[in-house]
Amino acid sequence: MLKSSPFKWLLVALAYLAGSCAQQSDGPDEDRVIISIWTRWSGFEKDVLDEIIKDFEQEQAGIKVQMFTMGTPQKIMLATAGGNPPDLAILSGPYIASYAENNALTPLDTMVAKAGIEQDDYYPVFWDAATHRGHLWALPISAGVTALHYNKKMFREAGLDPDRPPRTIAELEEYNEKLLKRDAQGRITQMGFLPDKPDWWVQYYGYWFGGKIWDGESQLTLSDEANLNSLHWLASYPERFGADTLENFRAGLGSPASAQNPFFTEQVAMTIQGVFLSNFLEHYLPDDTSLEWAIAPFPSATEDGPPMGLAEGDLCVMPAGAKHPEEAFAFLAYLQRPEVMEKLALGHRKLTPIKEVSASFTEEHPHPYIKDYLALLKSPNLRPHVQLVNANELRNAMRDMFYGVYSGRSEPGAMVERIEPLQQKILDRKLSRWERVEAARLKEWSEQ
Amino acid sequence: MTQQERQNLRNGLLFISPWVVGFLAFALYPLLASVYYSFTDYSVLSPPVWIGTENYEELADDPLFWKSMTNTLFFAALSIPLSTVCACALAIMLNFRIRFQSIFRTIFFLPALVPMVCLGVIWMWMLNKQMGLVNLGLSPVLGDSVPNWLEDPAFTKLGLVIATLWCLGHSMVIYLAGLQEAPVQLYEAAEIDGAGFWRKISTVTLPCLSPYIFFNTIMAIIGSFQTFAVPWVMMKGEAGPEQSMLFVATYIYINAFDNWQMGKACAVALILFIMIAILTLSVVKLGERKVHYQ
Repeated sequence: MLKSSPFKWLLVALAYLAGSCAQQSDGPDEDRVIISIWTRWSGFEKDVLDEIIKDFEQEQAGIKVQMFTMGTPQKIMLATAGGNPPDLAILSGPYIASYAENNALTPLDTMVAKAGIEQDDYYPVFWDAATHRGHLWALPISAGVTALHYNKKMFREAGLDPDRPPRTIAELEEYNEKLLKRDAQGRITQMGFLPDKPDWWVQYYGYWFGGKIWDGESQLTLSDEANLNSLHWLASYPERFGADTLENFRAGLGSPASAQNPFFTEQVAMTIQGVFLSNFLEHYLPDDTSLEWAIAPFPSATEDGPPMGLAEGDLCVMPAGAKHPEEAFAFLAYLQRPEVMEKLALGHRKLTPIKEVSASFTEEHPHPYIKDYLALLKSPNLRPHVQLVNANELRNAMRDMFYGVYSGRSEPGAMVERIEPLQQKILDRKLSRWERVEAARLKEWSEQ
Repeated sequence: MTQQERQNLRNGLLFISPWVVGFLAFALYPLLASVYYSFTDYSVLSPPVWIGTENYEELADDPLFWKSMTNTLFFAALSIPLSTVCACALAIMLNFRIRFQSIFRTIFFLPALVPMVCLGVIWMWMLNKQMGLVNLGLSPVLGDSVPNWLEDPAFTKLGLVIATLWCLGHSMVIYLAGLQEAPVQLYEAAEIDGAGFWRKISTVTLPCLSPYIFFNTIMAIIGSFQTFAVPWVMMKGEAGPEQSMLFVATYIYINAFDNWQMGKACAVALILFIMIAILTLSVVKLGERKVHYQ
């Protein structure tokens, strides 16, 4: 049978066919344009956006929005590189600069101007976080800011005024000493403040000492006095409490995103957290109302000047090569309407990046301290995540710096001397590579 | 060639052509493309820009690259001999005729079936300083100074070696197969000459196992130099305290997908390839003299 030629060819053809996958055809043909949006949200956060999407689809019958939960920002890059990006994606953190320079995003300036979205309606810190090289790359859709969260009951027990949280770093450490408890063997059982629980923002402590990470042009400023002071403060922890004792205490603490959050279990009296702590509380300890807590701006090194906070937010970007930019922007513009933004913020229990909020927003907001947060948002001293094109490398290096100093293994000055020149070299290289393509890119972006 | 031979050749090539196409498209082309990209600045989203040897010059000055090399060499130097010795010893012990031999063999092989990510998660818990089973076992002896396997840079790689030793199943099974090949007459001859247990191991068992040791060593070299999944999961997607778990494969991943510098990642990958190739060829050269085939 094998001798017959046609059968042989048939077998080979079958082998090839078996190796290739047939493409699934898309669902039933719709007249509507289907746009996709990638978010990191699941659970109740996803449900809120689902509702908003339903409202939008009712208003704009010609567009259908499909939401997908994608874990990491890298997937957005990969999809864009593969030529199959989502039409919209939610990013957070300092990715805008590197994504924009790598040509992964669509500039939104023209579309924003046409839609009449005004920069002045937004807090500058959120608008600036979405800007790079003179173009707008994203629109903020929700906001948050970090603040000091403290336990009033533990303050009272330690003889501190529960309505007078620390305002300076020196006061923070005074409170820390008073709130410290040890057991008979000298092991720590309770602490006032622990800088690495949670460890999500450990590379930013310099902000509260008045330090900046770079000069905004091309030079890193990690070795500035303010930044060094923050490292010395962190290095004082193993010095004061004993590196091993501290490590033993830390190793026994639970994850911040769980019911064993040390702030919930009252092992730590003060913590730096975002506006979503009340979400955590409700999610992980729904039946426990015994935690007496309040918020205040996180203490700075000196008391003068408006309070400092790290401004975070979700930014919605349009990846380069999105198949339906106009329809996608229609949805993005819808999300920018004050009433829609407030609905999202209420549902997520976060804040909005726009300055004006309706009275009902403040009244209906489930967060018990929304007024304090709104006041903190007004501070002109808020800073965003550092927007640098070598954000990833810098983040890893600065976290190394934190852990080296905080574990007592390295000396602050030595660490900065080792790390800063390296990161500066990486930044210089990226800046020189940008110079090579600058003219072409700027031209391309202004034409979009 | 005769007509028949030509026809046979054509049929043969036709039937292996799917594999050949796959190899060219998915193995050879990416390899050559990677060599090309290592001489460019390529961020995937924009076309590659030729920069010559700039990536390699950057690597020569890059302390993270050298750290990844020393980490990888340290890990390989520790895990290859240890895993060879342990797998061999296990195979010899599982070759004894005892009652539940097949059950024991199954139990010792099972860990090799655990996917690498699960392995990382399991050992992340096993090596936890306060609650891990390893430290639970060590605390009667060491008390409070049990090592902090996951946060102390001096111990992270040792923890990884332990995790790697746990899944010796594959090499153990190969040694077991090799032990069946050892001719009984040689053992009998050795016994007649008055050889004890250890003498028999060193003069009969190990030489008979030498082709298998040779094969497993090469596989271990290739495997340990490419270690990525287990340390990455154990360190929760980072390079470990003070970059102590930064291996060459980890550095390739970080450059390619975190920092979007494909060119630099390809350069590191090429260097890794050359390193493994040189080591493998050296082992092969050594094996020519030392390995006894039946």
